[in-house]
Amino acid sequence: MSDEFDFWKEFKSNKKGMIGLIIVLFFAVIAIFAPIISPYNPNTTNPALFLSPPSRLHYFGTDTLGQDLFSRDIYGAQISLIVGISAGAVAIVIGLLAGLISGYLGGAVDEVIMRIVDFFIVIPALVFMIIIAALLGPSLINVIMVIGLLSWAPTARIIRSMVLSIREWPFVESAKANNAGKIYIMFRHIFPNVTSVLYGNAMLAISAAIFTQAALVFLGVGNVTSISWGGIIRDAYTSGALTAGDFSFILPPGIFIFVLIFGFIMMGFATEEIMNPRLRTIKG
Amino acid sequence: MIEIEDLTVIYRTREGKIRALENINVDIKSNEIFGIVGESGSGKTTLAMTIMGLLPRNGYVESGSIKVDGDDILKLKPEMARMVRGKVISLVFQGAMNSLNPLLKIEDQVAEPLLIHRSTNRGEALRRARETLELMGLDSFTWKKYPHELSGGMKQRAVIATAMIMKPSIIIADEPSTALDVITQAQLMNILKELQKMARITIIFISHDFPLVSEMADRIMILYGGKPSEIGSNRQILSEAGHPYTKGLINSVPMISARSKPEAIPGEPVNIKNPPAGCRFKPRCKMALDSCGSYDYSPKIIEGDHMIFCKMFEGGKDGRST
Amino acid sequence: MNEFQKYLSKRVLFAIVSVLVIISFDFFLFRLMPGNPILIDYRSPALTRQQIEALSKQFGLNLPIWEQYVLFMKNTFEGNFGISIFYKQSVSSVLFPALYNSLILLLPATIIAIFLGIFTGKFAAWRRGSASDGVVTGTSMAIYSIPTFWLGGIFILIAIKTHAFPVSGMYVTGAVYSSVFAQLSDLLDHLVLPLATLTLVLFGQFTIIMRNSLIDVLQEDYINFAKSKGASDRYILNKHAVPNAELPMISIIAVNLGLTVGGAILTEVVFSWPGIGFLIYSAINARDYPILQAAFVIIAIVIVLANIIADILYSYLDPRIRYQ
Repeated sequence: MSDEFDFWKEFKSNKKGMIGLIIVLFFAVIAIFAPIISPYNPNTTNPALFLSPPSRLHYFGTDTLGQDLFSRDIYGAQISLIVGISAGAVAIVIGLLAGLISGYLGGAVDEVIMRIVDFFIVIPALVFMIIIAALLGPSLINVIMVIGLLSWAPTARIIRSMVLSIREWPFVESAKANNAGKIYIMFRHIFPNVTSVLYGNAMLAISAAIFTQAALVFLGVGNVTSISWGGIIRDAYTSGALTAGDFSFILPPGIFIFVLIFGFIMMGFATEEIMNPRLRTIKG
Repeated sequence: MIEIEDLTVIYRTREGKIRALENINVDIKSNEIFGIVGESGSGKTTLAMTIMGLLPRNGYVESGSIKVDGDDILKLKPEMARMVRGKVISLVFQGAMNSLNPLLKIEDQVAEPLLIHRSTNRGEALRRARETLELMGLDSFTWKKYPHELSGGMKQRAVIATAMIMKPSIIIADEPSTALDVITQAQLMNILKELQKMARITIIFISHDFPLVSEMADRIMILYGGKPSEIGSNRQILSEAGHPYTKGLINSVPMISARSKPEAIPGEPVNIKNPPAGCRFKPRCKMALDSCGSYDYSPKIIEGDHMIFCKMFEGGKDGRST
Repeated sequence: MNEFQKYLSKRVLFAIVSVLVIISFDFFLFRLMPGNPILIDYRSPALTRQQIEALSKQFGLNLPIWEQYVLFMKNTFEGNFGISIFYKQSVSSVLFPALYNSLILLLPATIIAIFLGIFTGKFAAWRRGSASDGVVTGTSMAIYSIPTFWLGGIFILIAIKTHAFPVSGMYVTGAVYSSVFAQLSDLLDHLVLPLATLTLVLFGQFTIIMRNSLIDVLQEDYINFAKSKGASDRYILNKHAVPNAELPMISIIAVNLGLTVGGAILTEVVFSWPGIGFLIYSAINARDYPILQAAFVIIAIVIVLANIIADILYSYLDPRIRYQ
């Protein structure tokens, strides 16, 4: 427990980490209070307001259906955070289990899991996701599962390498000598020692998932029916707003994606820095 | 020939400033092997790095001077300091295993100082590198090898060859033999001794291993917690030790022939981040007095250059009587 | 067989198995999905009766699934991916020109980004902890976080406003060129924006990779030893640090190739660059599953091959692997 207390203390004094945390909290507030913050119902159409420019009534203008873009950009935070965090969680849980099992059991199990990891690291994930998402059809769950199931490999690799060194530590040896079960040792003794790395990885996995979700929707294969930033960018392209030179359509959703991803990445890097001040590396 | 005066070195850390070395005053003579003994945190590596001008980024010299043949090397401009490194003073690192670049051939690495200091062309530099390697007992079989293809002892010899190639007047050997087996270590010590006699160089030999240093060195300085404890000739330190820490070190050496059991010094090494006031050895010292807490490290000088930094000897009085 | 050869053959074996697994995946993915999209595609009225019969025979569409699988494997190795529903010609005659166009964009972008990344990574690593390191690292992280498909859109907006560069395709539609140079200059004009987009996104990533590899290496004892030889900062950086930092960089770049391809696909879609990414995008909208199926296999094979090349390059550059 004292470890976690120290971690939070270090994190608080880490500039990158705090900037990241503030950004993420900011968007969380926006997502939760979207109905209160947004001036209009984001789905209310108004044919009279076809691509109207920014005004005091519509801060970011309206889209081709006359929907208020500011309200849609506010609501977009919900999908990005939901998909990002859920898909990140799926990836982290699978990666953690695979890494723990692979590293602790070793032998043939390890070999098989690591070859699967190699495979998933090498294959072009986005192409895979596009195709599966296109075949499965648009739904929130599909998008979360597709992103999560294709993003766990880097985490598994890092967790495994940590487990390999932790399992040689004396307290694990003594637990073995006391006839503790494998699963018990894995979760009671090894798991607590990899959590810190897991936090950093979770942040990076979430940021990647937010990007991927937006990219999939942009390509027209994600959960295209929900209001999302990727969808608004897609609308900006298809509506002709770009050709018309209208910045207010495309600029805000992109900046939001960018800042939110940046926030999670900063938190992830800060965690890694705290855990490993010498290395300060990112891999994968 | 090396005069260190009132040297204080500080590390900036997140927890505040650490005084890694303080009150260091010592003269190292030409052509001697000068031993420095201390446990980790004693400042012995900091001293080596300060002389080399290679303190880490967060370290700096707060006060003092290091004069080599009369010139203060701490006052040199960076470009001049670079000319001193490798040419006048060279270094053999702790963990020589890792002192060699894994991607370069041995002979190229040994020849490198000649090229860095533009002493000669590549062909001549390689010829001299091979000559020096041979002198170190590494034959032509090793010249074109990569570090991972050589044993630890061979790598260590290659590192010494590199330090030797510019014919420097001073070599600093910082824990040169850690991680080597006892036989290789003994061979290495013989090589260093022979080199010192043959090439007439000054060797500053740094180690935590008191018996090893006492075997090698003409004179010895004992560091504790960034401060000196005792400085003297080999004989003075071994048979006329005054400082309780020095005595503790001597008693902790297992002597095969002696009947008495070795005694470890009780207590933990000093925490340099939060040192005790006055004498830093006080918390572990059997003979400590209250007044040791205000000791200012003024030395007691006994016959010639035997210096003891202990409150008990202060002002020539025997502290125990008070 | 020495250690090095053993290592390499292990990697090659893994590559072959990967390719086989990818092809199998590809087969079952499309057959086992609800409605068996390939079967529906190949009965599409868009094809002629003759084409449907030829496909039926070639892919054994009426045979049990395991026999279809064997036929699919065989056809894939022969480069026979069936017929595109949208283009109504063989998939390979559509796919390979697109792959070529993709490389025209991807290779220069990667190479430029790597060189720039090494340069700025070096700059930041040497000044680690300083304000300039903070600026370079922060900017790189920021660039790395920019959504590709959004950055491209901003470029398009600016280019249209300023009439600076063409924003779509590889050539002016229907253009007739007086010389090869005229054609080349049109190509370069069209290349500017997609190349800038992709290079910029990759550049942020490579800077961070290079900086972190270098910071790792700069802690090594041989760097300190080189300093004690009197070497200058620049000499240490170029002669000792960079070569050692490039090794991990090679493997990280190879591992991240999937990400790089993802960025390329998005860039192609934004700028309607007629590469394999744009082809995939069009195929999704046209429900042209044979194209999707083949594109997936081809991209995966290219990435596996690139990884093998990286492995060989790595072991060639690292004497610890070369001489064992």
